[in-house]
Amino acid sequence: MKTETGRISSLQYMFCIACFIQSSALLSSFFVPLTKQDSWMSVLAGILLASPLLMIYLGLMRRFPGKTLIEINEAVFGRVFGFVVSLLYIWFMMSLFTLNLLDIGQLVKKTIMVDTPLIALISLCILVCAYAVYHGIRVVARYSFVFALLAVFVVITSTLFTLNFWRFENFLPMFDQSVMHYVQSMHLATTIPFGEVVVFLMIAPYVQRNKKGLARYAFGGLLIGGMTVLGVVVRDTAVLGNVLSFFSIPPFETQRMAVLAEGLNRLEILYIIILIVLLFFKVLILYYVSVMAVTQLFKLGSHRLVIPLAGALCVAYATFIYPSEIAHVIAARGETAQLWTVFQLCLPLFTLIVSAARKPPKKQSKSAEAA
Amino acid sequence: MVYVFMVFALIAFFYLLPLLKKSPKRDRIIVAAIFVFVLAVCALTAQGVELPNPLKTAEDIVKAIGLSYPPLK
Repeated sequence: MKTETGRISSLQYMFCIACFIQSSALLSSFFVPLTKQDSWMSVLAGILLASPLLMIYLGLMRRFPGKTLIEINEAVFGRVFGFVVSLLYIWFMMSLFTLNLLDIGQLVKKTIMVDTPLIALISLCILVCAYAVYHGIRVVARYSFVFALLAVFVVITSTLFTLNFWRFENFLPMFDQSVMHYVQSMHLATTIPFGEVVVFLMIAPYVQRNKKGLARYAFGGLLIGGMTVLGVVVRDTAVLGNVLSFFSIPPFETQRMAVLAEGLNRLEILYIIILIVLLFFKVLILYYVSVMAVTQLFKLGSHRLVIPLAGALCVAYATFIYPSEIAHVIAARGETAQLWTVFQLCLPLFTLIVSAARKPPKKQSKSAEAA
Repeated sequence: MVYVFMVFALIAFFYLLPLLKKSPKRDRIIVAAIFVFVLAVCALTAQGVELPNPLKTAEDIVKAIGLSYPPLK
């Protein structure tokens, strides 16, 4: 059943993935206190470890062209078990949606609108997102190219503006942390920004595929996004050094130091604006995939029926998901990465193995006809 | 918070009403059930009732299994 009739181009798909990952530059505070000046290694390892994950997702897309994650679950596991697995995925998507909604609200509250209640900020964000989701995937993906390029531009310019503060000795000493911290940091860097790309399995059927296939575009998005996050972490380490781990948003502190000319400073606002735009885009994608997943699971006629319900539920959920920002960071460091690994690696891999073990649907029907 | 949820409920109600009129009966029942569930969650949250947090429960399970990372010193 298709409730969405719009299509996006492969390039738009690539820039959607890039934007989705770029927005996670905010989350560097999850792993930076673990590996400090070596955090750039965790991001690099995250990009490398995300490649096999992406290959699993691409394998599923290839085996089930034109099917979303929810439809794949039903095709592979059957109606009952498929329903249960899909329900778990919906919970995962909605939790991600809520956490990112909370992130954008807290970022705006902390940096720009200090006195505005959080609930008002996230409600307004949801209303704008709902409008875009209502109009479908084409509207959601339309500005991904502009957002991704803007993010790259801001990172490059801010790097140039802070060149005076770069100290290469800030990267030293290398390999000074415990092995466990490197493992934890790499795990966090892989699951929290990069592995979340699994939600793009919900969008893949709506991509107009050209002869080159989708793989190069998916990897292109991963590379653009990953390199941007890597650039941000390298720049922050070069400028802030070991004190990097003391800040909740290290890029914000780095940008504060940037001075273009006398009287032309406080450039952090540029970074915050682009980060809000990117986070808004991530929330939008997560909102869209959550709505589509619920629509397809319950086989509803239109995804528009679910938009206000999913939005209201996530606003309510955001108010009690974590009692404070510190609790969020502690949980992310402790347990969230393991939990997300189930949805990003274990379940997709299991689905791929089961689907490979079973006969492909076309062959099954042919054999049935022959019988 | 109560006012925010009241606004949401009103928007959702008046937005859904015309859409549901055109939808089949099965869709109406499912959407109505989800609507009641969401409304109940929103109302309880607005009243300050502490609802069970599924993410926290899942994290507790991970912790109980012994898979969680040790806290940072």
